[in-house]
Amino acid sequence: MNNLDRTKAPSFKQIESISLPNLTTGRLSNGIQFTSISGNANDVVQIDIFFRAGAIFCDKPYVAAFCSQMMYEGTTKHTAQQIADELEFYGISLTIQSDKQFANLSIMCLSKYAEHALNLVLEIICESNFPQNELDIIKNQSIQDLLINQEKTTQIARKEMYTTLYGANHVLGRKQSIDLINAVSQSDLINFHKKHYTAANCHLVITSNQSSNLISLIDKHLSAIPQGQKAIYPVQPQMPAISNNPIIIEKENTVQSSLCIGSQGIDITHPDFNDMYICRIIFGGFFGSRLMKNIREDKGLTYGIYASSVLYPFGSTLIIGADIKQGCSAQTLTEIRNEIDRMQNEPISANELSIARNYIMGSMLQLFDGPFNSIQAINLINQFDVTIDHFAQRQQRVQAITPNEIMEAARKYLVPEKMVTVIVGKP
Amino acid sequence: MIKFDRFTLDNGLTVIVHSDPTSQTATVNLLYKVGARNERPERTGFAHLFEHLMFEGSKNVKDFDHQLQLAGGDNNAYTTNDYTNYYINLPKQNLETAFWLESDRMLELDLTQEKLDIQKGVVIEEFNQRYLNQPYGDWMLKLRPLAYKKHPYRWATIGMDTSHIANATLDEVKDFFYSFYAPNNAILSVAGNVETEQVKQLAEKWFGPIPMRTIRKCVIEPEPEQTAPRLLNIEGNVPCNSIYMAYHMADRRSPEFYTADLITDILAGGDSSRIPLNLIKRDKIFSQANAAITGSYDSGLVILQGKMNNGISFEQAQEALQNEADLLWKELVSNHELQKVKNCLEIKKAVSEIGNETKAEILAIGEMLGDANLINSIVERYQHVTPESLAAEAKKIFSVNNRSTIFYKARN
Repeated sequence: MNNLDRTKAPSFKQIESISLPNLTTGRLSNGIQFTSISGNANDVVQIDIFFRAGAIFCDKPYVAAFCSQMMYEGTTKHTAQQIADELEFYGISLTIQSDKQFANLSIMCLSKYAEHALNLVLEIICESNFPQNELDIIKNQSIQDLLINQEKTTQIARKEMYTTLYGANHVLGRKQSIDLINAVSQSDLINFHKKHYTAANCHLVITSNQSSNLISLIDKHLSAIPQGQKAIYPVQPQMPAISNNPIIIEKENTVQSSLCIGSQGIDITHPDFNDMYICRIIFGGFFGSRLMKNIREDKGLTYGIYASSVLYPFGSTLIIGADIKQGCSAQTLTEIRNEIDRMQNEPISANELSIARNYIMGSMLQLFDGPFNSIQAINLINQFDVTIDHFAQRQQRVQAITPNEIMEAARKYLVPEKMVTVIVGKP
Repeated sequence: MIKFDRFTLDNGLTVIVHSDPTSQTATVNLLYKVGARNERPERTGFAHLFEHLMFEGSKNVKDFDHQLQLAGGDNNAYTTNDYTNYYINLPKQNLETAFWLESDRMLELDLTQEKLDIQKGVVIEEFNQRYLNQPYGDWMLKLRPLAYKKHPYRWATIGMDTSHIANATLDEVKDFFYSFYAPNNAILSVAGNVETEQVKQLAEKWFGPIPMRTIRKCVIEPEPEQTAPRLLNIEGNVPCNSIYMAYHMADRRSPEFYTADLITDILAGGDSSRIPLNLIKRDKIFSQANAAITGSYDSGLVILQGKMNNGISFEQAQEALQNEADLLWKELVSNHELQKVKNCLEIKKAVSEIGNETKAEILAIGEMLGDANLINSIVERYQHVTPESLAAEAKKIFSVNNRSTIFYKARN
């Protein structure tokens, strides 16, 4: 016991490869594509139903979002209350969300109630009737949410960054307003629903202990979704020219300034994606990143600073964000700039690269630990119609990338001249 | 049902092991029985500040995060009013790294004035980011001292004021460590692809040599019974008026805790519950409203809150929520409605028993409450609630004399 040397780390194993989950893919009898993953699910079933029904598919803002939210609000056969009561009685959770690309109805329940859930969700998908009274309530809630978000410096900064980077006519740069909320009509929703909530626009992700019976049950119900036509992504306007000068939005009564820096990025179909990904993680993607070490751990200027990517087939964005101590945003910008210079011009040390490698491999191991954790990765590959091989390639790249290649990626994808900077607060 | 093994080291450290051979990873969760409740009123926010310092290097390991990242792990921690919880997720083959890191920072921290100063800055920015720079962000900071007059729950874990954090000294930090961070004041819970024998060996090897310490006894003054309603008016730069109502409820270990939890589920647990249906949709009093419990160890709070629609007065909003709450005892809830909220708990429990991280966490919290096995009888505890016992508890909780209200007014 006394000869325990605590200064020496116990030996640990490098994770050299991670076995990726076995996914089953196939089609229901009406052609709906599904991806199924099985494993230790504790008798819980999750069925994620995606439709190409995100904001990109409607020129009128808010229509796609309200359409998905209104699917809780009643069908031709049942009121919202009857549906909610029935779902909750069986402990079925139904979450409906939409983003720029998809609307997602996510069912989670004990496997014994999967049939109840599918029955109700089919009715919701096919027979929602978008009652006016509920639409008015949702509009009212959205207006209040908008007013609250307009008080949040982080939200203001992010919104302004997107609009400046993409332009207000691009789906990612759209502005928000009370007038736009009020302009949405019941018939907008009915038309959008009819066109996009169809089998041709649908894919599924199924997570369970064991999928064989479940898939035939799903087929029995969801094969009744009408066929429709597959929607294509409308072409988005060209990105405007941008200026390098920070946009400063002054806001009274703030105790911090929110900083948001954005530039156009690449998505997972780009051959450089994994290099960019590794470069971003080292720069600002985890607790041990350069930005966190410098701006939080060495200087105490923020609770957290990160670099992240938001990926869509019609525009991917690299975002640097932080809430900064009052009066320190100029210093923070200088430090970010210094860190970008270092990423571009100084080869990373063997030790730091090894930490980043092991961290990324460890987080990938977590990402695929159990069927529910894997859903996130499956959704990413489905977003871009690629296979799970993407993650095998990522593993290889993490092992093989050299310090020079990381600098190369930084020079290509961390480019200050292409970044829009927004600061909200008291400068 | 979560199976687990449990043993105690000679120095008092309780260890819980749950084995899941289907996982490729493990979670090592270390819960210290110290929280904001153990702080002095002039040094609030201290337990949470201390949590930050736990990542700043220990006697033999200068760079906690780097060492963990090298072994492919990640970690985080949080502080509540009752306890502080640290967890590490890592590949199963590197389990020992977590034992090395966690045991070294239980043994002794490497604290310096400089590290303290930096983390004070970080915590003050956290205070600003989460509580002061958000619309309505400070409501809980105001509601606690209204509802609690004596008990340390009157302050939030972040502290009453940033000056308390700024004034903390290095000596106080060291004193806090030796008063509360000790094997005999902690629960180590390991879940994942591990075996009990292996965990036993590692625990003996790394934690076994750490001496037992004298834990500072904190005399916590119980909150006296509230005898009259309380009201606080505040104004802020917020877009709409909002109301917050708190009522004292049972402590975490009593059977009535479960009744109060079901009460808030009936009020606002889902789309078919009463507040959304009656006060948002039917009466259009609120655009958003909610009901929840704080779930604390000692007597906690049931909190009803809502963002009001234009043209609704504070008095109307308060009356609407109070009436909805009173209906729970004026008319018995139906068996169907009660069964519905119980059924929803069944799936919540199943989901919480899937990942290593949540399993390790709930086992540790159960053990802190008296027995890790609590989580295996939790459904039963909820099943015991009847329409009659629910009504009796609702009548007690929602007494007007037990109420503390904030009218949060939008400054024009």
